[in-house]
This record gives sequence, structure tokens and C-alpha cells, in this order.
Amino acid sequence: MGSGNAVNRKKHDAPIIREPKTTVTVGGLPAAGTSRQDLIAEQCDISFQVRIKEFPFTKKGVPVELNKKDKLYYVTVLGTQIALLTSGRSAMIETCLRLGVRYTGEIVTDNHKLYARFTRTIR
Amino acid sequence: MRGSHVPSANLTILSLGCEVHTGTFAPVLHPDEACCITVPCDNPGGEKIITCKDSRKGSFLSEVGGLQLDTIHKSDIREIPAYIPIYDYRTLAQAFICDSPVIGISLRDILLNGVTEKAGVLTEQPITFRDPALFAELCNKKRVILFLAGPDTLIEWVWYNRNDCGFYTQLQQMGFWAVTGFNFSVFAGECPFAQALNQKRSLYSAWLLEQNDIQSIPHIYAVTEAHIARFNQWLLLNPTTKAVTINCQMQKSQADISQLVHAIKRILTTNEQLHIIVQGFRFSEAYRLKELLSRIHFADAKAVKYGQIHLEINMDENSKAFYEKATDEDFKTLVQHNVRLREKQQDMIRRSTARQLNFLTKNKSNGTQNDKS
Repeated sequence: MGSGNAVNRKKHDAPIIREPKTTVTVGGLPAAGTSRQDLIAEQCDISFQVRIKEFPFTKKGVPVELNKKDKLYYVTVLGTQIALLTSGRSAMIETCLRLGVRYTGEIVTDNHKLYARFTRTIR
Repeated sequence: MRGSHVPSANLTILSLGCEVHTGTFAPVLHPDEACCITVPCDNPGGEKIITCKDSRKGSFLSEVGGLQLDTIHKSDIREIPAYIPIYDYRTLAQAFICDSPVIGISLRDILLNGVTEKAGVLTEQPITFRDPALFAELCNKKRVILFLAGPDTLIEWVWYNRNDCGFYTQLQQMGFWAVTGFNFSVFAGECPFAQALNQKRSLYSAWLLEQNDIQSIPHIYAVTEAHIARFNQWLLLNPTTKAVTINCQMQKSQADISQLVHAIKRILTTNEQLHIIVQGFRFSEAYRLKELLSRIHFADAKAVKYGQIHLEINMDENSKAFYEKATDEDFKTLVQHNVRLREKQQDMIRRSTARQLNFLTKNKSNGTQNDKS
């Protein structure tokens, strides 16, 4: 929504503006999602979170990373694996990497449980 | 440097990277408008806004027929009360029995699904609508304005899918008295191309409503003098447009409010028949609008929201100040009560302002007579 000063924009409300359907055609027929931005919007979650176990170092606000081993991605904190992503989610990360999307993460609490939350960054 | 017209004292380092600064969008956007940019125009993901750097900007311009504010509207909205309470889906029953002749509903309340919060952010969902008959029944009893405002994720998603989800058919079935244009975001400090595009998209969306036989109230928002000038030009093209709306829910600081008040004053002073519905404007700041209050109409959900969280709006009989207090009263009763108090508060603000203006006018004319004698 909204209008005002840019500093007031809400961080949790940051959609990719998709290309208008009426102006995108392939062979005379409407075709959506052909631009890189639209592909990212379709295929790359804005944010996702993974439940993690409690360790002494898994506190709210601690940065987390994604590291790949074989075909799956692991959530790590300073090199220590704390969670494993599913094959589906790992595939999404890989696809989005090719589209220039990185996921940056930190530990959050949600409903009194610990999660590693990752948010999309587009380069 | 090619096309550098901006007085160097007003340039930010980010202005130099903006296509508006180089005159790419002249004459519609003057290069001077690139001053005061505080957010980089580089936006590779097309997130939140479409800037001058977006490779797809041609598509967006084609969709709305360019940046020029040239839409012609035929809606003629009149007899708007001073206060318009905005209800939500849970309080529709209260909306039926309130005294207000005109009430409001927001976009999210006509949807069963549209966006959801997931992992801390708003995420798009397949769009489905609530039963139109619910709103049609209300619209038979009241004049209902649908405000197409809300989170950007919701607005942009509904706009993108407007044809596929049967948006206009749904609105026709619901039978609203009027529907506002979409409140596409316009934020100070961002790319002026992005601002201008969203201002055009808002007006175009109101025009599209009318093409679908739905009475519209155009949404406008001006953060610069250039914007004010362009809207005043557009209003010259639309002499039958008697009402527009401005969403004021994001104004936090005194500077933001001052800028908004300035824009409202400039537009209303230039357009003497125009009325503005301000959505979410704080009553405590209404005094700034003084002699223009008779043409300004306040819409908000405060009465309803407070009722839902068991806050009762009251007035101190001695000081006439309004305040809220927590109560165990049933929320349905509270909503009714709060709406009445908000209407009373707005009425008192207008009377008080009118008295002050009368006093000042009398003093001025007495002063003039004394000078003459």
C-alpha cells in the first residue's frame, strides 16, 4: 500500500512486480512469466524457514548459511550443520541460484520454536 | 554529462544514476524531478516498484498508455459525509445497522484468499472472493465505497490477475456505490519514473473500473511540486470529477504530514469544486486543513478496530477531549458506539474550526474598518 516516505516501506511487503499479462505474447497468445523477474517471482520463494534444533549457539538473530553437499543443501552456523533442506527445496535453491537469487538467513523464533529463516536477495 | 539540467545543489549522488535526470522521459518528466532521490534506481528484481532501469518498463507503459495523466473519467460522486467508517468482514452486521449513510470496505475484506503471511513475509495465494451476495445486500441498504488499498503484495497481485480472477465481474455483482482506484505506492525519495508510473496506474485503474460500469473515485498521491502540477492539469481535463481519494495511512512523521497537507491545500485551492476523501488521516492533525475542511472527508477503520480490541472511545465532558479506555463490553456494541463518537469528534473539529475562522474574519474586517476610520 501506501504512499509517503521511502523509509516507511514495510520490509515484509516487497513483491516482485510482474510484467502485465496483456502486453506479453508468444506467437500471438498471451504468455506470462517470460522475464527473469517473472521467473523469479514464480519459482523462488520470497522467504522460507526450516525448523532447527536447539544448540548453545542457535540463538535468535544469529546468521545462518546454506551449504551444498551432493544434491542437498544444509543449514549451517559457522560451519556446523543444524538442519537439512528437502530435495524439493534444495532444487529450488539451485534453480534460483541460476537466476541470480541468493538466500540470506538468520535464526528466528516463531510460536516459541526456533527456525532458520531465509530471505531472497536478487542481484 | 548529457542532459544535466538539475541544479547541482539539489542533486544527490543517486540522481546521477536516474534516467529521469538525463531527460529520457521529457517532456512528461522534467530532469529536475530527479533531485532528492535517496533510494537507488537499480532494482534488478523489479521489487516493489518499476524504476527507470527496469528492462520491462516498456510493457508497463504500454499497459497504461504512457506516463501522461490523461485519463478521462465520468464518475460524479457527491454528498459525501464528513466521516466514513470503514468496516471489515467480521463487522458487516454492524455496518448494516449503523447511522452512517456512507461506509467503507477494504479490498482484503472482499477476498477469501489473496495473500498470506509465510515465514515473516506476505506471499501470494490463488485469489478467491467472498460471496458477492453478502455485499450486494449491504450495498442495497447503504452507499458503500470499496477502498482498493492494502499491502503492495495484495494490490499488485490482484491487479496482475484482474482479468483472470474475474475482478470486475465480482465487483459488479457486489454493487458498490463507488470503488476507488488502486493505491499503487508512491514514496518520496524513490525513482521519479517509478512514482509517475504508479500515479498513472492508479488513475488508469479508476478509468478501467468505469469501463466496466463501476463508479470510481480516482486515487491520487503527490510528494513533489511536479506531481501537484500534473494532478492539477489532470483535474482540468476532468471538470466533472468532484471527488478523489488520498490514502494517508503511511504518514508517520510531522514532515510527512506537512508535505501531505501542503499537497491537499494546493490541489483544493486550485480546484474549488473538488472534494477529497482522506483515508487514515489523523484527526489530531485535521486543524491544519482549516478552511478546507468542508471539502475534506475522513475515512478510517479506527472506530471498528478499536471496538474489536475492546477499546471504547469516549469524550471528557469538561475538556471535550477524546480518549480511549479498555472495557469488557461486547465488541459489537463497542463498534456502534465508537463510530458514533468518531462522527461526533469530526463534527466538533469542523465546528471549532469554523468558529475560529469566523473569529479571524471578524477581527480582520474590524481591523480594516478601524484603519479606514
